[in-house]
Amino acid sequence: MNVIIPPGIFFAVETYLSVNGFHYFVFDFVTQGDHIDIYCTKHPSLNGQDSSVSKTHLFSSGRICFVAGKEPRTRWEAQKRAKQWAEYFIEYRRTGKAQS
Amino acid sequence: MRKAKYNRKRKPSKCKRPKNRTAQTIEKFIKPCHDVCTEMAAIRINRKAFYELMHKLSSRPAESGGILLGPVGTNDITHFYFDRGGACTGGSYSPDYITLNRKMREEWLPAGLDMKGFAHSHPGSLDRLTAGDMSYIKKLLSKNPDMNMFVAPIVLPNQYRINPLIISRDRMDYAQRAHFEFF
Repeated sequence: MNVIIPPGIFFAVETYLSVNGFHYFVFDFVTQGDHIDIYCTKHPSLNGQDSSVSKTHLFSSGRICFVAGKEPRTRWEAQKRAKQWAEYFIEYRRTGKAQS
Repeated sequence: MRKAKYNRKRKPSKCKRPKNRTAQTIEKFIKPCHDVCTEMAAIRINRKAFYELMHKLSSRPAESGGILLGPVGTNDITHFYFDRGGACTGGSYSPDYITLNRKMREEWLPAGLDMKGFAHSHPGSLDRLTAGDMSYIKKLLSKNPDMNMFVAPIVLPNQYRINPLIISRDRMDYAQRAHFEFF
């Protein structure tokens, strides 16, 4: 009989407050094989902007869209990318200018 | 007149409070489950371990946690060890696996106890296991092939509430609701 407790983290959600301090995001990270999918479960409204995936980079499931092969592979990287996306989202809802 | 009032025999109290208050306190946590889920899987837990768990995790802000222990070869939970060394943030709890592994090797296994699961707390009213929790539980189950199920109750300190959940080896991607059976 042997019991092994491997290193790991029970994590509920990752919250992010935008740099301007006005907007609040909640992220959930899901390990999918060799990479991590980022889900945004809470974000500010689009402020009337176009909600298409090509502009928001956010699927209706809440998953953030990444180019195949460019997905984050570590948790640290996933957190960084989630923050970058959150700042992009705020800029998009303000100006309506989308990045490809 | 006044003297007569004081000499009057005191009436027996009509208070119907049960003498066993501890039992009533436990019922308070589990009542919603007992009402609706008679066919749910049962988590058999010692009252003392349950109190310890609720006391330690509810008195701290989320997230924190500890290991659930019980006799080898059974699914009973008889002990709860609060993980003081775990790294806790408002959104995550990382067990102090070095200390827990050492204690498991040196104290618990020689005493006939092994791991039955982990209890941890969540912020707000998030009473389900998140994808992050599930991936760590899968890792724990894969490292411990003797475990046929993993007990992972979620404590909500804000609401002083506990959600009993189990993950069976057959369905590692699904957290099943259960109910507590006290002994």
